[in-house]
Amino acid sequence: MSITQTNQLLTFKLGNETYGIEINKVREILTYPVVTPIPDASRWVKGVINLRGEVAPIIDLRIRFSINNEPIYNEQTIIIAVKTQDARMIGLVVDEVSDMENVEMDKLYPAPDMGTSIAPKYLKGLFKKDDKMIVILDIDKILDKEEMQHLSRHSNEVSLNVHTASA
Amino acid sequence: MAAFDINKYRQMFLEETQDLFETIDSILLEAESYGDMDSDTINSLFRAVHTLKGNSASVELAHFAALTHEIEFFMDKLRNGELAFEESMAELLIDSIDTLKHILELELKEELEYEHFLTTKINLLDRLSSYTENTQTQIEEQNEPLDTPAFGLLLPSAKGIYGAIDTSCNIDYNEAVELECDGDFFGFFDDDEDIKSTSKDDDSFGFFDDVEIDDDFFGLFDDANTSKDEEYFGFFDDNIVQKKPDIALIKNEEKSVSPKENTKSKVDTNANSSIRVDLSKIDTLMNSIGELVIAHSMLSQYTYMMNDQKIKSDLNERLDLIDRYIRELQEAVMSVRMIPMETVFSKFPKIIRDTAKRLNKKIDFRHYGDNVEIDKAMIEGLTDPLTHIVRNAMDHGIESIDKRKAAGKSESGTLLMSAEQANGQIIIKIQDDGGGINIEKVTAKALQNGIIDEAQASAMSDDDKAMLIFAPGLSTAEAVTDISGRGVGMDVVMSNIKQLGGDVKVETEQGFGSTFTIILPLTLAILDGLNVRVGAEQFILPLSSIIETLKPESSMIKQIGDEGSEVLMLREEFIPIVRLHSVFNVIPQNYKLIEGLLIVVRSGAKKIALFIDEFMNQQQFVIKPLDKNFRNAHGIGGATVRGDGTIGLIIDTMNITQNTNRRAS
Repeated sequence: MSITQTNQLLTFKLGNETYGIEINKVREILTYPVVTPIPDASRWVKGVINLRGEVAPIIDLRIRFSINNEPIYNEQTIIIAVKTQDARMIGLVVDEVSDMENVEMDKLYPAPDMGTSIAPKYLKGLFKKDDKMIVILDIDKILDKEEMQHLSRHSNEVSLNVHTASA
Repeated sequence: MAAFDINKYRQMFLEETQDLFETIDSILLEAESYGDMDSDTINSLFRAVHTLKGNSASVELAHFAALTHEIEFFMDKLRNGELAFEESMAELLIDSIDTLKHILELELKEELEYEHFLTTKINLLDRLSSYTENTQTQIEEQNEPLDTPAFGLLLPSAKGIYGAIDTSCNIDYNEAVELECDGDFFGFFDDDEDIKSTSKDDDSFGFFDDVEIDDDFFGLFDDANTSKDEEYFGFFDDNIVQKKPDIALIKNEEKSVSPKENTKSKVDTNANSSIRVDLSKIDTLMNSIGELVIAHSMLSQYTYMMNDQKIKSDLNERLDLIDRYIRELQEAVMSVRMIPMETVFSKFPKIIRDTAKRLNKKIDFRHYGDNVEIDKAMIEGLTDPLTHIVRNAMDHGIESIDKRKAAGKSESGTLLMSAEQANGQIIIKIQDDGGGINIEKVTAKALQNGIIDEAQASAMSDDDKAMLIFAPGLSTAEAVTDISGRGVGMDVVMSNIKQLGGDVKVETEQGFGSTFTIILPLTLAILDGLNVRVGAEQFILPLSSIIETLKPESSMIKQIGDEGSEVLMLREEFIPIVRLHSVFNVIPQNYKLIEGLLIVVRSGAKKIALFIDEFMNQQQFVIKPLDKNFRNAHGIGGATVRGDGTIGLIIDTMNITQNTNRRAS
């Protein structure tokens, strides 16, 4: 799959890897606010915040894709607020926002079957900048409504008090 | 198919149609009760029906449009004096309008069978023609073109279609008694070949120009309609007037939109300077104001840190001014959401008339408080429960004419509906002067169905017992009628009203009737809530669900079963205890019930006691949906933005029990 509408990426870090999302999906970049936890949500759903008057969930991509299962949240923690194709506003927790990149279309590689922390079905492709590799995320796949519905509930394990807010 | 999305226009059409039907119904009901109609009324009636026809044809509801045309035609005769209004006509017309609604429903669901349509139409024509015997021939002339139900208005925005017109047939009915249109003459939209094949069957398509009616009415066909036409027999033999589509025609189409608007403004004089606005746009406005409030409070917070007293007080003064404007803005936007109760009440004369007819009872319906305003978003949720209560009151409450006479009451029962605003709530009452609720019967039924046990029954007051009618699966009707009595209904009424954040009460007096009182918050968007703390988390409990709060003593708590289910024994009543901390997965401050607090809340028809650590302040909250960007959570009914900008979660007491029930099972 290739990107045709946009050629600007916002790049950020999850662990040591650099990732990118199309800039037209991004609504806002904010520091980690006070998050209200949702009682029955999975660990990677940190809770909800007020984002421009809407109740928006905060999703930690690092936990979601097992990049860092015990992340810390402090003033340096960044949230990228994105708007999905079906107009849902969602905040993504990332380690640091790096830069803006112009995507050169002829340098976009298909996502490899293995070797990335995130399954290829969630990726749009790889982009090589100098000697760096940027993994371009498919936000609409990652935040797919159906998938969020059933993945975001914590499993039936007796998880007493596991995920009370660490924020 | 046509090149544009018809459903988009159908939505608009449906909204307008709803209004038109209401207008028509109220005119006809008035005519029925007065037994006469003046020419102005007939005119507005005609225009409403005419608009209905035009609109429906434009959204490709061919069958509906065809039937509407019959009625329009009939009304035209009334209008131009060919027919004199007779008392019985009102009933006929009311029935005809009902038929129209029925056909519309079927056609929208695409479940309309051709045979059914034809029978309906023939029946309708039979009844209509009983008044127009002398003008029978004319009716036939006019009817035939209607067998091609495909006339319509093109919405001006559907420009793409204009270009596709090749040739068109224009039929002037004043001249053309019988017509035959050869397919080659007609202009169609996408599938030319398709149409040609169907037009071999002598179908007629074309433009209608009802000069006689004096309103321009034009139609264009597309293949969706023509495929239906295949089933029609061609009645049209000669005298065809053909026209190539030219600029004049297209102009006419544009013109044809204007009578629609004229009609609307004449029919509905209240609406002459109003616009239809999507509720979501108002919500967006409300959101922006909410943001403004938060930004404002951040700024005022900031002034506390200032040292310069002069600047500080100047700034505060200006902040107060902004605050006032924000409040005014908020009120103005809220008022946009509000519409008068009249909109709700106006639906009932029709429902009551129909139900009364079927039950063979006489009902005198009166309503008060038409000008009380209610949140538009609430009306949808309110209409169903109200209708149910009204039908129930008519079916079970108000007695038959004979029984009423025997009881020394007037022949016709009285049904009162009123709305008033008090203490930031809307109170709607539905009062009947019927036989009242038979409390013994209700109690017996509730015992039989295991809804309550003997001990509970003996502890209950009469009012409590009357409230049992809201329990699921309870119907005391000896015979299940098609109006009410299936025992699914009153519990739905209760849950619908609860969903709106309201409550229903019933008072009844044997032999003298019952009064249903519905209490609703002024708006769906704002809720009175109590902040409760569990461990480090705070949740919001809707004030309307709270019965009482107490600090339990160990003697009041009983363990049931080995699972450790706990119940609160409160004045001979056993109330299941729900530990909020385990439902919401938080670490509580207290694990022992006696160290915390219990809040007894209503959960549907039952009571539950929620275990919390502490209750905090009481406040108004602006409700925001949780599932817009995420999904709903168990036990959570919605969210709100607190003063500090964080999100608070609102507890849904109904949902919480379902959750615990499931856990227990």
